[in-house]
Amino acid sequence: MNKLLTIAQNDLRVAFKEKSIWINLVFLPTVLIIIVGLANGAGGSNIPRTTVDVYDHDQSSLSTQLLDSLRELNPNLILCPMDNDPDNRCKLTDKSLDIDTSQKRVEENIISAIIEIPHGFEEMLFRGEPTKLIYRSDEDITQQSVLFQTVQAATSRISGASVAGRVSAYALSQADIPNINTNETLASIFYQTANTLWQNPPARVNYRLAGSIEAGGGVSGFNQSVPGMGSMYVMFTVLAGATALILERKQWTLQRLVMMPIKRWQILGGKLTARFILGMIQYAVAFGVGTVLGVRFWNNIIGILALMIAFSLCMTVLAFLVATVVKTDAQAASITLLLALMIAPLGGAWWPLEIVPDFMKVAAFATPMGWAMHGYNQLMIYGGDLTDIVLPVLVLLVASAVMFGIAVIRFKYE
Amino acid sequence: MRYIVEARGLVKTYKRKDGTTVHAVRGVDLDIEKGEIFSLLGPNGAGKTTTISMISGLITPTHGDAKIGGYSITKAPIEAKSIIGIVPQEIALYPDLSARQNLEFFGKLYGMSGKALAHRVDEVLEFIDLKERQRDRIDTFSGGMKRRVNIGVGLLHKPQLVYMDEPTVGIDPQSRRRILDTVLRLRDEQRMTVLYTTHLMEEAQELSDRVGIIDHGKIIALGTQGELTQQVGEEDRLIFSIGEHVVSQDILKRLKSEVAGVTDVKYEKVDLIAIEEPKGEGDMVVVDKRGTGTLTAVRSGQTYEGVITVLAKRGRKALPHIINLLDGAGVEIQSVEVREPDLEAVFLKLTGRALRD
Ligand SMILES: Nc1ncnc2c1ncn2[C@@H]1O[C@H](COP(=O)(O)OP(=O)(O)OP(=O)(O)O)[C@@H](O)[C@H]1O
Ligand SMILES: [Mg+2]
Repeated sequence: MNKLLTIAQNDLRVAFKEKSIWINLVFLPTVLIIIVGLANGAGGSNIPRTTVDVYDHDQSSLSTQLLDSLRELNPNLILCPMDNDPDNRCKLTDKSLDIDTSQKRVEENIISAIIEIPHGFEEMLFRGEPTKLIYRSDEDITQQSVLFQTVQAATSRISGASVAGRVSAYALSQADIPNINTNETLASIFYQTANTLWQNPPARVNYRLAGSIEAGGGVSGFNQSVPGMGSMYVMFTVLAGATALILERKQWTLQRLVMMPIKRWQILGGKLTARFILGMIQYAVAFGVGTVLGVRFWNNIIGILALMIAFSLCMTVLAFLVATVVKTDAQAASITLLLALMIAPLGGAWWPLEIVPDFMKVAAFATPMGWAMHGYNQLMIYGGDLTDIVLPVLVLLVASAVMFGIAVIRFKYE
Repeated sequence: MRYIVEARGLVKTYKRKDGTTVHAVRGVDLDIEKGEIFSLLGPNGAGKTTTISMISGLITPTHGDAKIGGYSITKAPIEAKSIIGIVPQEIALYPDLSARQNLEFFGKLYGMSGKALAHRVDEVLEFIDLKERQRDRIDTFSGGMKRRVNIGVGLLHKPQLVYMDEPTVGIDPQSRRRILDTVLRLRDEQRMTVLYTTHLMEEAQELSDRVGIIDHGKIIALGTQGELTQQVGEEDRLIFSIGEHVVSQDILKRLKSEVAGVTDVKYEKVDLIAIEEPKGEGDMVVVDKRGTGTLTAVRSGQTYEGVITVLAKRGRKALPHIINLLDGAGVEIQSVEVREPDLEAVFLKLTGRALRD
């Protein structure tokens, strides 16, 4: 163990002798965190809120539920007239609100859309009959789609719960339980239960929308760019380990170590430990810059540390694997650069995965970066907790173990 | 225990990508006595480094094993490796670190620390005469200085046994001299056993108590220099340098048949490497014969030197006859050298080739 650490320490010393280390470790990541953070909408404190006129003709508990869901899913949303405040943020006039006025308000861009909940909305849903929610808008596509998705998410939560309620009620009535006799009552009881279940993770995650990135206090583009650019530079820094390892074989220091009275796992362990530590230093730099920029992550520090460790480890092992595949240090340098440049945007280092098309989301989860960024986004943007990063961390660890197994078999010391 | 290295049946076979196999070492037995300098002499590609790599635990033998101080290098590698100090053929140092940092790092890995380590590093720096430059980065050092640090690392833990794999390759004559003296001091002052590999007969001749001649992965002769040269009988070698002149096979045949005592005749072109800039066309310049360190003066512009090697019993007696014959054939002799039987002759006899081929 002692020798392992001696080797790790020496590798770190050699890495820090590199003249470009400070540029790559501190300067470039800082610049990119700021630029990419601003591009992702940092600094915009007065985010335009989305105002919607609502006509609730049903006035049922279910319609109220739907509106609550809307507010919860998109805290940026103002439902008028019910959510108006003394500052008249709904910009209502003395004239009472009707569909024609609202229509004008849409045309004049005062509001983004109109939502109408029809009469008998609740009743029809419980009976399992199709019902409609009316949504009108002429907003520009992106705004509309965010809002539209919110509405869709809220409706499917409601109707999903009601469907679940009906199925259970059907099953119970078949079982012929005497003291409950109307399907309606039964359905509504089960609706409550199902809806409660529905609000708990993991299903909740499905309804978080890109539009809510800018919602909530203190969340900014830096919440994306700090872990994003941080992880990308962890890739650069750690993957350079492949080149370093091959260089050591070329300059015969690796062979000299093998010929010394040291166990091979200590040599390899030392080299990998050094790279892993460099990765963690790189993350520390990125999150340090983040702290200066006002990104708050300390409340999630355990989860963030877990992601950092898992991702740095995964990159360390990937560097090791690359070193067993390529022949020369020049090849190693170009392959790792290519890998990093491909995986970073694909995996969501540059922009949140929520705004990319579905097929790219799928591609993202084929990369370690995708899982890491998914985890960081959960913690730093969507207010998730430790349970939200269990899967990403596990995936990264399993990937590391598999790659390590392959690399260890393939690696040649001489 | 008389032998510190006992290698038996060492074989190393490599498989190439195209399916062919390379027999780098094909069955080497080796016993090295405590306190001796043993040279492994052989041309490029003979299998010297491969042999050293197997008995130092860098590569696993395809067959065979070696005991170092009684420990099997394959079964008890850590114990065996602790006995050995290694000076690889390559400069195995961290170029970005200073000489001292390199020594300290490897010293720590040999289990030294604190004052003991600092003291030993000082001693080694003194021994390799680099105390003044200890804080400079390795990549600012000359070839000879790097070689000395490379040796220093191998001596850090005061090993009983030191492997030195061609430690004089690619350096100037003065640095070479210095390193050869170092090797002798290791044996004489520090009582270390040295396994020294080289493709230079002169080095093996000067240093060794015993020599193993290796070619194509096999040790073809082994013993003290006296024992080895006895094998070639008492034939002398007469070496004629004839400039850029090319001689015909006919003349070579005549030398063999017409001069009494001549047993073999060979002609070869030796590459010349200029070690100074010529001052003008036709001037004399000093050249290194094929990087061997043997210096000769030739006319500038000359790129090779024709050399006739004649093996003859009682060479000095045959000499005038040979000169007459060559003179008569119009060959201009520039210099003559008469060598008593030596390791080069042994190699030539056993393989039919010169060591430097
Ligand atoms: N890893 C390898 N793969 C394939 N062939 C190899 C390998 N290592 C060595 N060889 C071959 O084995 C033979 C012996 O090589 P080795 O390096 O032991 O020679 P050497 O006597 O040390 O030569 P030199 O004086 O040039 O250092 C050579 O033909 C070489 O090409
Ligand atoms: Mg060699």
